[in-house]
Amino acid sequence: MTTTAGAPGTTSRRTNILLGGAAWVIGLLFVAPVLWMVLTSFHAETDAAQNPPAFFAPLSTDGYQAFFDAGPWPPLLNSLTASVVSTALCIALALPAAYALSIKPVEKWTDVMFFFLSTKMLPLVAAIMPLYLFASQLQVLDNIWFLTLLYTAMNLPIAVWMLRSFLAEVPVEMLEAAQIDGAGLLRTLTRIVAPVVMPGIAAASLICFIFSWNELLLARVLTSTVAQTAPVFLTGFVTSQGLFLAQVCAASFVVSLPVLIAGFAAQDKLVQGLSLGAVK
Amino acid sequence: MQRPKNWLPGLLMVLPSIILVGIFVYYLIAQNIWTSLNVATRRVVVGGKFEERSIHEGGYRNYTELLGSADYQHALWNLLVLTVVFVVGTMIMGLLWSILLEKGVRGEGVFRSIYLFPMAVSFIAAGVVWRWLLSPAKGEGAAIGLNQLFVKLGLDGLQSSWWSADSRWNMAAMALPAIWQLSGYIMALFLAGFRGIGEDQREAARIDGASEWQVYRHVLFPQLSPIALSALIIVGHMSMKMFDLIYAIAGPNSYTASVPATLMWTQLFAQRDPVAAAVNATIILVIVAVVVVPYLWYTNRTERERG
Repeated sequence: MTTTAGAPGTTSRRTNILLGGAAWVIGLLFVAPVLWMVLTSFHAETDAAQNPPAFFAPLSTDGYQAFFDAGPWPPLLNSLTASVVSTALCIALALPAAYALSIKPVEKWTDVMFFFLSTKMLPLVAAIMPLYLFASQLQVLDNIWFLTLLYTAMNLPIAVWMLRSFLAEVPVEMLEAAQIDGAGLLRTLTRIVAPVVMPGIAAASLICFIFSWNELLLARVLTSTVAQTAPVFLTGFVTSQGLFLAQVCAASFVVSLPVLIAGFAAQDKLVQGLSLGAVK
Repeated sequence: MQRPKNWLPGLLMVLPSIILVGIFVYYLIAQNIWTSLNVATRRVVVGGKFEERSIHEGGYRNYTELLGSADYQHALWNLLVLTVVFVVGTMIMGLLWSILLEKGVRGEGVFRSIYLFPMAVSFIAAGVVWRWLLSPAKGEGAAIGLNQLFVKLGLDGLQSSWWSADSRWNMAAMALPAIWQLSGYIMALFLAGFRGIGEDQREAARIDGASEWQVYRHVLFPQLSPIALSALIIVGHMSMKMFDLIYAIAGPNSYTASVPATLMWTQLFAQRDPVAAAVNATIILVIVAVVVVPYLWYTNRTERERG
């Protein structure tokens, strides 16, 4: 196929349809695994186990019933606590740091950023053994607040990095103009900095929330019964009920739901934040 | 040199984050390296009596011992296959989609969220689906998941045992769910890159008689290379740290699907050998550092040059 610049009207239209088709096909392939999960979760166990899967069999919520009978609420609540509190802490710590690193540059701020980024090297697996010893010495094993603190530390470098990218967009001339006009710090922050930074805060919060909600490794090692989080509960459920596809799919769907909703609600900010975080 | 009055508040604003991250990361690394050099003995029963038997001699020998073991070499090989397929696959898919969307496909917002949403699903949840999709059973009636799909389509030859295959390349299949999860992210990065290039540059190239392919090849791609490098590093280091995915699909103690990260889990909880686990962790750390540090150093330098 040749796309010469001769007749832009017709050619580009045909190309567009072709590209659109390709995008739809790939898009469908992409949602298929999750679609399968949702469909299976709403079928009776016998229909879910059919080979081929009986997608058009009557719907049933038995899978969900079985999942909720297994007592998922305490783990879900634990996950919610750890994710929300650690996200809030993360932003509270990262915002001043990012502000200092972009608008009021600290001497050698690139070294500081380098320090934050260098922590990305540590594979979480490498942390579990010393963390476990540390936690048992301090007697904070199976403690949701300890996990919350760890999630804060885990997500802090990303939050600082993302917020700094957004804050770097604040026009310096406007800040100087505000200073000349005699605007106080509070006024400068609310009128000039906040509008630029709010999307950044939303994006960073979303990322922190998703990462904490989905975190498995630390939670699996450091919690057992009291502070168990949703992913840990889910792995246990998958292990014990693995043969019951509908139940397992229902469980997976329920546990994924909060992040899916959060992701859809703020997907534009997510894209913006993710790209900024890596491009800059 | 600035006056103290100017930098002190700034420093105070950064300090809490530095301390928290510093403790979390550097304390743990130090502890790890310290443990990895330890001598370890294990109490065994010999002829009805307890006897302390040395299992690690301590020092650098702990490293040569683990690196020389067949299990570890198998895990390292698996990691290499997984990383290469994962990185290449994600980059290609990400680039292709970003081109699709960049060309102005209608409903970009919908596609963007479709491509990005696997990233939000936790691997434990996605693992349920992928374990089913990649199940090794073959043949009419027995096959499920992807194999069954191939049978239905009359493509029996495409059936595979996926990651459970007894092959040196089995981990290539494990990269599929990983590609599924992260291509959207890479797509978003490239898309942002394309958007950052002004339309006038393309127009200029087209007026000069460049074909669409030449516009990409000579005008757009060269400007995307910094983003491509970032994407490469991000995906590469994610692959080396990957644990959840393999845990969810193959279980933490699978030999066929073992990589250093899952092997560490086995060493720690099944073999109860923290020294070997620490050696292993330190080796992973070094491998990741070899990839990430030059990149960080380079980024740091360019940032500084920019001011």
